[in-house]
Amino acid sequence: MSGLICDLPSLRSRQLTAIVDGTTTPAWAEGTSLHQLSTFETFGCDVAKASPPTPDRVTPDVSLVRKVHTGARVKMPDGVEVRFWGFEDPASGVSKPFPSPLIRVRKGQVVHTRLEASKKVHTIHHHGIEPLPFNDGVGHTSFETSGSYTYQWRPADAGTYFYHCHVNTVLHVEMGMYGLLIVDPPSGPGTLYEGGPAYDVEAFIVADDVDPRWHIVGQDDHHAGVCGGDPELDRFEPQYFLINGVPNPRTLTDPRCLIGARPGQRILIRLLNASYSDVRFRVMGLDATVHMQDARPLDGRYARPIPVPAGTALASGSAQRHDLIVVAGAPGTHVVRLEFRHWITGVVQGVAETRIVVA
Amino acid sequence: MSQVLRRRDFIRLSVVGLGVVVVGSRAAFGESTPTPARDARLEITAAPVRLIDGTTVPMWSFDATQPRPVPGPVLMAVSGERIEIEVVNHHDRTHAFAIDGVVDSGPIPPNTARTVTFDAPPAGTYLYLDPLQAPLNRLMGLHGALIVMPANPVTPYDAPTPAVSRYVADIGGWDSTRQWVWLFNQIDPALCQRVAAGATTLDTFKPRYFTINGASGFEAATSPDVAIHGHIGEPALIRSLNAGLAAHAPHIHGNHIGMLAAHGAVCEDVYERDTWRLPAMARHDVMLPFEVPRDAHPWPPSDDFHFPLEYPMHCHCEMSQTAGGGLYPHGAIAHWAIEKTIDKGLT
Repeated sequence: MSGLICDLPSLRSRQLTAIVDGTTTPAWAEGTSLHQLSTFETFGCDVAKASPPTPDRVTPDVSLVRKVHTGARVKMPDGVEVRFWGFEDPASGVSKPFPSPLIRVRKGQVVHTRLEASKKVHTIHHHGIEPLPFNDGVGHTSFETSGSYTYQWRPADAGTYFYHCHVNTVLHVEMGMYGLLIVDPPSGPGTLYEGGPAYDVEAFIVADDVDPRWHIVGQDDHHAGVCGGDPELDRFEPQYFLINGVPNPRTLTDPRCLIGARPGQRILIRLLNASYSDVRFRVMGLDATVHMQDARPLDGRYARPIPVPAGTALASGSAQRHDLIVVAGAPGTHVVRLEFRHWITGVVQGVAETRIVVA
Repeated sequence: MSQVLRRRDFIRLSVVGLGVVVVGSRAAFGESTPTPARDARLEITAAPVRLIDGTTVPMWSFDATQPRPVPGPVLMAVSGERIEIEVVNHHDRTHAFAIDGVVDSGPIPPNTARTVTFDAPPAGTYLYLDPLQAPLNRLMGLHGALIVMPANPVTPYDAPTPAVSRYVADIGGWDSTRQWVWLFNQIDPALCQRVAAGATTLDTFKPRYFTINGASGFEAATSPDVAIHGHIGEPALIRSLNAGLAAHAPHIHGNHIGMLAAHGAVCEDVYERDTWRLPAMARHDVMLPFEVPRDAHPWPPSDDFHFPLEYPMHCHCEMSQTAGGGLYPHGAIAHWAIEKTIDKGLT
């Protein structure tokens, strides 16, 4: 496909040309595939692959390991078993988790996330975290990790984020390679951000939708479509709708989804749309207020908190996060409902529901 | 922030003040001088469009002389000024030119022309299109962006809200020459073939290519009208529009944006986001502050190797990252880059 190469040199081309010229080659880049120029091929099919040391490495406050696995299995309500991939935390003792384990750090900490990529190339992109490109986990603006790499970052803002693989992202995220990432203020859990609202109970609502055909495609070929062929990754027809890795309707009873609180307690719901649908989120019977979006406070400086009256819909696009406070009222049960709307037709393809139990 | 126009702004407004300015859609606003045109002229023709994998599809164009025939050229005006656009229909079907809520030419039969005259609407971002057989003629490529500038571009608006004014002041003010259009579209080659052959209904829409300003993947990331660059402290306004039918969720790496206008209305609340919803026909203005990437550590990096800092923006409805069913990431993606600088503080 060399005839398709744009004749306009990209910014990255200049950068990497300088490496090839030997004018700025850092010692750690020598012997890696980072010398490749940015072309049509190296943008997608033939991205640089490397396991370099971390530039400007400093002593971290927090060190995490995330080891790639490809062996999670989730039994769907119709009995079909779907294979998922993810990141394992060897220190947790939990094998082959889906979704991947929570990353939880505090504002201002220097964090090292060490990716162990196993046999195939992967990356970790800390979504919403804004490090140097070299630590951002995007192959074509840095490299794909062929063995291991330690991502260095220092969060400046409390809030809700997530992390995911950014290799053949369309497929690897659908295969389940994502997990929630929370940055607490320096005071720790209990407050959303410095000077922000306090909460008594914390709940995660991570929405996902699953097209089982894609999981077979991924299992057959981790690089499906990247260098050609037509695996139809533009055709997404989800059959299962999940909260926190649990398929609906088990979400109504599974402890990984249920939210328990006592009357009057303030419940923080961290909502992440990890699906490829345009989601509508509702809390039936209780008013909610959005206090953060994408880890930025609605503190009145540029934007006010957003009221979400009981039963009304909050729209959440793919990869957005909303942090809502719900005050538990009298003892009772309230349904939390997610609708998954098709990205083109807007048709509701499925729902996932769980409950807030006030007792 | 000073209300006095800088000399560069003044020169630019003098040019813009001549009338509608047609800026070739390949031209970046950032550094090139827009081409002034007293009256814009749009010429509707059929045009083959070559996609990122070499596939060619039959589409319709407002100006097939551009390097990319779709979308139409970026039109630019100052709010309130009189605009006259001549629309010439060279095609063998009836077409029209309209901007929702602003102007509608009515049907323009084959091989005829019509001049539409209107006063530029309030400062902001608009989508012009052929409204006939909606949404077919639009999906066939007959759409483009109209930018309306305020007379005094301290912000992009005639009457900014307090939140917009505060946000723009806090990021150090806005140089009005730093603006880019990201016009998203989706292409279903089978639909294009059917409509080109005479179909008049939208039976199905299964897009297989996802473009920004008509480009995708590597071509988009390296095109000067898509790729944004600048230094720390040089904010860039991104006018994001969606001419297609699918809902996009643009996600930008490196900085959060501030959303200044949504669906054409100046925002009462400026939401800072890394991912914004861009449904079909949406037109949202977002400001990229060009601040130091907040979570980079240490800052600044010790090695010049890292510059320019290059980040992607891509839609997180990841199906849009494909071309012809695969070829990740040759879909709806753009790049932006922070250049190293010696005259502005990096800290």
